[in-house]
Amino acid sequence: MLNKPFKPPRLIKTKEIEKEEKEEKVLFESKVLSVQWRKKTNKKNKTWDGDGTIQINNHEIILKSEENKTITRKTYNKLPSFDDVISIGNYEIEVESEITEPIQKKTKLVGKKTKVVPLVYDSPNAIKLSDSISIDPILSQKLRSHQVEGVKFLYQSLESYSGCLLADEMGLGKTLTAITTIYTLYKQADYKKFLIVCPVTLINNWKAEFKKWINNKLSIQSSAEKSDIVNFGRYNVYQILIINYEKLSTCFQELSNVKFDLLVCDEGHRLKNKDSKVLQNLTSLNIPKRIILTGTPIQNELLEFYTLVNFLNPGVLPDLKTFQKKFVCPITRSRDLHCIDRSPGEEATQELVNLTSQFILRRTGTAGLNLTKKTDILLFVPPTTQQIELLKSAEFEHSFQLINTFKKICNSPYLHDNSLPKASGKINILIPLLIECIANKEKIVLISNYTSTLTLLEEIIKKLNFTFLRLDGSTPNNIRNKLVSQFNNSSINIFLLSSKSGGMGINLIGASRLILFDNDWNPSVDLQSISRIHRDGQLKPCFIYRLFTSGCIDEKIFQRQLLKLKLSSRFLGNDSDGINDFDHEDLKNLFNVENTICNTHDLICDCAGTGEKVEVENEADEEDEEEKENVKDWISAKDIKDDNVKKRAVKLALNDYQHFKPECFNHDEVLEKVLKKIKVSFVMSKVS
Amino acid sequence: MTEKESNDINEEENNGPLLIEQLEGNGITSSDIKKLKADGYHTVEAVAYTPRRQLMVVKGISEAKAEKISLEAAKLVPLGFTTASEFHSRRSDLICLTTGSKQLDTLLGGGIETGSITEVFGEFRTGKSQLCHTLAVTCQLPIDMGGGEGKCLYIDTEGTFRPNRLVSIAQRYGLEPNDCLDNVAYARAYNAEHQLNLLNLSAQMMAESRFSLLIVDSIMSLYRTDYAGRGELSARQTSVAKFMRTLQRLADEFGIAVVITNQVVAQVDGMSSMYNPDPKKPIGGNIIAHSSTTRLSFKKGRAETRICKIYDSPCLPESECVFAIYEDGIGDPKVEEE
Repeated sequence: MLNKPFKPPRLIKTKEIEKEEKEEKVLFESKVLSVQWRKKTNKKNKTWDGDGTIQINNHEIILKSEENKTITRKTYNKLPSFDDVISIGNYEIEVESEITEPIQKKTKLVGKKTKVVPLVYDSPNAIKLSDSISIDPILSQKLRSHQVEGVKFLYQSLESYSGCLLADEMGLGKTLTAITTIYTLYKQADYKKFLIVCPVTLINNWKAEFKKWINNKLSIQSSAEKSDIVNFGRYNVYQILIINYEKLSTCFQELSNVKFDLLVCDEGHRLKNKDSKVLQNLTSLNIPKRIILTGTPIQNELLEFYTLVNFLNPGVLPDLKTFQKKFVCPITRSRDLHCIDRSPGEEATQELVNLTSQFILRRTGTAGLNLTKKTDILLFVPPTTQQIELLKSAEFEHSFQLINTFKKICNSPYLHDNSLPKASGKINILIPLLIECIANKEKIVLISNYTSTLTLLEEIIKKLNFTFLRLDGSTPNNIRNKLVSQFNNSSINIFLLSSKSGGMGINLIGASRLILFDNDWNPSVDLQSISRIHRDGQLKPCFIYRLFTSGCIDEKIFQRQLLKLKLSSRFLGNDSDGINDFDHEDLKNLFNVENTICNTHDLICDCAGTGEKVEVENEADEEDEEEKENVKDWISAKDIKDDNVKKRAVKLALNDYQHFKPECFNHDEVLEKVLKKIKVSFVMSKVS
Repeated sequence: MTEKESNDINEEENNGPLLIEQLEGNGITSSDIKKLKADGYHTVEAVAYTPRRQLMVVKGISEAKAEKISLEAAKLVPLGFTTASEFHSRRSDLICLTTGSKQLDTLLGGGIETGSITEVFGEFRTGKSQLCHTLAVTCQLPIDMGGGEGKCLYIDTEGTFRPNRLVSIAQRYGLEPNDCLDNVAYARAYNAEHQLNLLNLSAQMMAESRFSLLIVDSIMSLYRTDYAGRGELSARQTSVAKFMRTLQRLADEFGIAVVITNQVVAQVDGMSSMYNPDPKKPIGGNIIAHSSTTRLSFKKGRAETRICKIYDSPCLPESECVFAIYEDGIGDPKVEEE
């Protein structure tokens, strides 16, 4: 009894799995058991001749020796109980245990380490990725179908290429997909060391996700001291190293001595600049397989796309000069406002898509997730008279400085000059909005691009006697997570967030209202900020407000954003339209202050503002077809001058929005109450 | 010996210890094998590593027989030179047992090494027995999780073995507690002679099934009291030396990890107490000091944390690390964020 052979301890089973196994056992007919056998004797002190196995098929028992040589077999009418000695023919056997793995060879410990791949992957829950590899059941039961597709895609493209890009929209679970891939590759494909690079705020987020989904089956080192990195490389104690982009440069020497098998870059759009030191360091680390995760892969131009693809799979796209000649030029030209023949651009686009679609995956929309209702509201507020005065009398400086001045004035004149009052169009609507939301017992996230604006808003909130928390670039790392969980779990009313530092990755599902106070030229920055509250785990319907001062630079920036979004969707989706033009007229236009209730609305349609959905599609198609017929023939000069095309782009982007004059608005009770008190120029809203 | 058994052993030739039955033939009879077995030699390695003089002590083995046996054993076991590169590649396959705390593992260069003796000493309440309990479970884990995939042999001299600790530790790794307890062979030693006899028994057990760890919790506590006073010191040291030699032989033969715990003695007189506030040094003298490959000293830190310092090691630099003792065994100290 004392010296039974080594039997590896089984895993603790939860009750569900036990039930499943009991059910399975009933159906399972062919079992293999390990036994001890002996020839039948009449001796007093019986000893066992040796070890063997028996295979039970239905009503037959086959006794085999340790080399799988059949010794004897016997059929029974009723299978005997396995508790005591069973007689088979001339032999007797005693059952030891059930075998579910191949018979263990005794190995000397100072010898070769062999990796034992347990046969749990044959269970029906494991999803097959290829002939030899499948997703572990503990994860496959928690993945959604689009995430399973994602894991399959990642695995297959890593087999054929050296890198791949997962560009799913935010909220679709890229982190979980990456974690599943890492775990599968570690357990079944001999990958040993992984490097995850991400923004500093997200390090704890990744650790928490690993703990949540695979409960520390893989050990993570996140401390990133130089000695820890050296130890990570030398010993096999930890499998995953998580560091942030900045540490990459400081600890580069130690990192280059570690042999990594897989690199995962979170928020990989950070690598878009080909001259950045981070990108150069990462390339020279020479990690064989790479994955980039990002929700917004192309932000400004095609060259960024080229940089990312070149980092992942050097060689798929031609070198920079050829790429410029072959792809960038025709594509930008064909998207030019005044282009006549779009076909070479379209061909080039198609070819580019063909080359890269093997290793780029993007899904949009909250596919399959049952999220609550989301209402996007664009609020156009009139500027105060003081603001209009300031804008008209602004001194002429260099255009960039002038842009900044204008933006500050639109937020509040106080930011431009401390002697001026704080009131501005946007602040005037913000205050009652805050009051109403909080009276409605909802929490708010208030986002701005500028910390000076955030400070101003802080003062206002203090005067209103509301509790708030603030997270911006200067908040130390270890406090950020605490702030987020504090906000989500307690009764603090408002969370002030700076879009660049907090916009990525943070989960603020405790709030149900989000106010974007000002906007950035880059549409993805705003998109990232907006998706802070409407994600997995949100229980209430969300309302997202974007504030614009009507007729001023706010609106023009917004229109520019919409045009840029078209560029992005072109290469990742299948849009066939796209305009890219910002000429002098547009620049001069930026600084015009128009006296209108909403410049954007004037630009795109002339409905009465009662909330009907505007049918844009058909008009556009018809006009397109007409134009196409005329392309090869002579075109009148008037047609060329027509800038309908630009208007159409903005129209398409705002396709799902309904246009309301303030009196007619009926999507949001809280806002309606506010609108009764304060004068607002125009409202556009979209419910999804 | 049936054909099946010999086939079995041929399979194991590259992987496991060679059982002594292999020596049969070429003038060595099965009765010789039985006599060797009765005296505690269960594997061919055991016979190869012992000098001829000691083989002759075995009852019933003559000088000529001992020579023959030695020669035969030398044919089967590599006793000559190899190149350092080959040895280096063999060492890179070395299995290290995780101690439960990642920081402690990193300090030890991956964990407790198999094939060598690790000595752990420290005052009372520093966590030596806790480490032993944790190792008793982690040695059963699969190799890719940092374990050794083998059973554990626990020789207890102070009566501090608590199976309920093993249950908690097993639950931490998600293993069935009863299976884990089944894989630990426990013996209580009552005097120093008994302690040595247990080792002979353990050699027999190890030849039959796969073990990965041998723990002697407090190697010196029985010796300290069985041999008292200056006069018996040399007798004590001889006995201890024999014990350590047997331990090393077991580690070499079967490739197991050996962990021993040691007590400390306070230095009440002498100059060292002036500069050092609380001078303690491990007992056992130079015999134990030289026989153990790696020596670790444990100190108590704040609350549940403990500090481990490398006292002596052939390849690790002298450094410290902090670990903590929890309900579920040894672990990394939890970082307090508030």
